Amino acid sequence: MDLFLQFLSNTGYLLADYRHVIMIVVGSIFIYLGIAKKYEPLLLVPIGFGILVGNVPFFKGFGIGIYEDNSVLHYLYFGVTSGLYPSIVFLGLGAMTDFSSLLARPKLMLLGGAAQMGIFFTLLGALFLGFLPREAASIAIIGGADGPTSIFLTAKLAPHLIGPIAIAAYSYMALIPVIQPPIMKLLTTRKERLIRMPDPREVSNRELLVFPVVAVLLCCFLAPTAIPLLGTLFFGNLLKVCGVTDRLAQTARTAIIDTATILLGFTVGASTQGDVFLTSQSISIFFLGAVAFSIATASGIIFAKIMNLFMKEKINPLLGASGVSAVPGSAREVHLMGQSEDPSNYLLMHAMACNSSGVIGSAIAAGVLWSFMVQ
Amino acid sequence: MYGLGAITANNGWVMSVTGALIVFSGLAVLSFVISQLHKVLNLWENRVYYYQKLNNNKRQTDKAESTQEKTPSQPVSPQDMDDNIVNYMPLLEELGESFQLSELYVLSQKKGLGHPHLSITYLRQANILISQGDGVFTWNQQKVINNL
Repeated sequence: MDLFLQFLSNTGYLLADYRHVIMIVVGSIFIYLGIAKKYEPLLLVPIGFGILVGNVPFFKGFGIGIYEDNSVLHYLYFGVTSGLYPSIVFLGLGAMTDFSSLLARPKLMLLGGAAQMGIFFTLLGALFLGFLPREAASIAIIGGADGPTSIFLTAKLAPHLIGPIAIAAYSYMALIPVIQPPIMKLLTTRKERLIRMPDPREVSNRELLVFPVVAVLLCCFLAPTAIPLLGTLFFGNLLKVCGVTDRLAQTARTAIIDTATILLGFTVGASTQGDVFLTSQSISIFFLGAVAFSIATASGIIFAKIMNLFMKEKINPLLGASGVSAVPGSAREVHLMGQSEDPSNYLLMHAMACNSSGVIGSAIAAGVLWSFMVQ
Repeated sequence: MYGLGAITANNGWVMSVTGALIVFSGLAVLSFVISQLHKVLNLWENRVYYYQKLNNNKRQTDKAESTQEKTPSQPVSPQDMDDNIVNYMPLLEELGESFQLSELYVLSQKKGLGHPHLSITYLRQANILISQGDGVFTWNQQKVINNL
């Protein structure tokens, strides 16, 4: 009888408290959104299931939990805390990305730069709310709307905040269809949304080939701390475009990125144990994340409108919203909004140009913030 | 510490402004560089012709300077042979060794070259375009190099 009672006292049913229940509900919502609503399923399903697994209560000291030494989850989590998984994800992302629309209209890259303003506004907001500079920088990067970049920078600057920051970043990325359209409508007139973009010029293979080499040198000389992200991003892209490493590119954009995404999502989810996740800090991070994302969207649109004041050939200001690096979610939203006004207006290619420059911009911003904090 | 005091104490204003400027200017420089990339590559791909044209121009300038006192200056022909050849060289690479004149005409129109009819006629008269029969033409490479 004593043995049975001892066993019962070690089960999750008796160890659970309200925080575990809340997190299990959150995990279930993530899984629901991913499967039923198809909001970023590749991210939300692993994260949601990770949240479920991470919030099963257990007796501390068995070497089970993600924060316990020598546990399996702890070893898998090393890829997050070391910044390994985000770098691998960027490798695959580079092998997937077609930069031809960006090369055809390089001006659109400025929109990717403008959308990063959300990061720096949020840095101020986080400091205002009393976060330490390293924590504030990690929270601010949510404004880049780039999950791997957020995790990478947080792992370097404020590892204790990885859980809430990763969940906030991925939640807002998944909620793009909810967050961005009202801001886009609010800041643009119908006439502006109807602006058509001319067809992009044809880009030669040589341009595509030279671009990753030039870009990695320019960006990494500017912000060497962005090497783990941009180095792998442009390496992956070179594998894609060089024409002699198709096998490697194929592996990078399928098996490698998929493995990294599974492990990243699952372990980040598992790191959100109720007792360490449900704090007032996490609520502030979610609030600041929403502010960062909204400001990023708005600043891209406003900058596009400013550019139109000086340009003969107007650009559709909706494209500014895709300057955040949520690939391809924000580009898709811009395209859909353009089409809702005029079904024959195809903005997707142009929006992808802004989107890919947003990826580069947020990685540079992460590098810049990191270098500020180590000085 | 909270509020504006916390921002100031942690150097937040400077970090935000500097960070934003670095990111934006970095992307602006990258944008400028990639906007020039196709021009640089075009220059590199046609480097032999541009180099020879440069040398030719230099020779002509030297010659003109030496004969300036002896002969009155001639009006420049709108169908200047060298310019014509340099303009049409990229089309040569695109069309391959032999081609139809109509293909050359369409491509020159597509590239926005002025007076394609006149230019092509002029190239034919100068034996730079050589007929191979059945409407198929080829370029006289040797003559091109001599003219440049």
